[in-house]
Amino acid sequence: MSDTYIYIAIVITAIATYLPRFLGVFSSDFVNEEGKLFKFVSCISYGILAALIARIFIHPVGALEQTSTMVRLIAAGLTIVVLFLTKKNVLFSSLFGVILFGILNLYFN
Amino acid sequence: MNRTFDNHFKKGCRTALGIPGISLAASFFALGALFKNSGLNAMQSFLSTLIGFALPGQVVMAETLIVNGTLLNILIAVFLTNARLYPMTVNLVPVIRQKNRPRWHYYFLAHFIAVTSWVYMLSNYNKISKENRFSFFLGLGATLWVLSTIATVIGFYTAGIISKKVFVAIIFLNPIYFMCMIVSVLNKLHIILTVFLSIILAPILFLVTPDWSVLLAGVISGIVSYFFFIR
Repeated sequence: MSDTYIYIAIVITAIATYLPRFLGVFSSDFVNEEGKLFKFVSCISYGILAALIARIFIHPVGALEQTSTMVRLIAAGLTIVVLFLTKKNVLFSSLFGVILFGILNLYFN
Repeated sequence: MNRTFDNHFKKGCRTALGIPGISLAASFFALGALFKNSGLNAMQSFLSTLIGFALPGQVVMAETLIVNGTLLNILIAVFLTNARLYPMTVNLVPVIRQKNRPRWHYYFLAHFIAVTSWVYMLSNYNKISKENRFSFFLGLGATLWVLSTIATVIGFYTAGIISKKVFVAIIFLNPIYFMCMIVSVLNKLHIILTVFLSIILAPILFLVTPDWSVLLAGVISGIVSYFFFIR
């Protein structure tokens, strides 16, 4: 695999990444903050994000793939409990989740 | 006007330097290590985040390169992976839109729309006056972009130095942060139903069509909850 080939791949990736953003700005002309279309797009966006997160926890790719699914799910579940106990303190809960995952992963993997 | 712009731009920058930036930088740090293991050099890793700033698409590119995929494979796979950016952008622009701002500003700003900046902005835009949202988001998005680019290069050079267990925990920060952000803003019925439905559907659809599961689960759950609660 030559260096030039990788550079072309990077440029192609950049184009394929910018295209949905470009089309999104273009389409946003038809959407206003109070309208039903805005709520519809919100539903789709949150839906995709939730699916993405579920996939990372249940079927991850890369380094997380080698960790236990049970450990990932326990860490995520307890983090949600802590999030509600701390009145939705995102910073504290995120750090709690990572540290818990780190410890569990050390002993149960 | 300019001073107001500056103040909100700086506020956006400062916000990015907190937990959103730390969490995103952790993921790009891991990406830098992945790039090194995939055969990219430091300049290529730097350039990838600089011009193709969206982590899942960059991971797909590296994985396709490893298996000697063609450039067309890369184009299609990355576009499908990053298709989520389309509804996210359609959703975000009306929130930050200002009457007299030239259109090209939004096309420029679009480069900084990614999950972390989007989740933060959509969760907090009510706290920022309409005329200041553009400058705030520009500060937030641009700072996250710079941090991510730096983190990619650091990750590239430190690959292999950090223990594997610590490395995996660092990667876990980003999904945990996304999850906390989304759960913390679940206050509207249509969004709550969408999220729950999508979490159930995504793993099931993964068994049928791994490549399309995220997109399909999101779209189906979004449509169902829209027709249930909004229409």
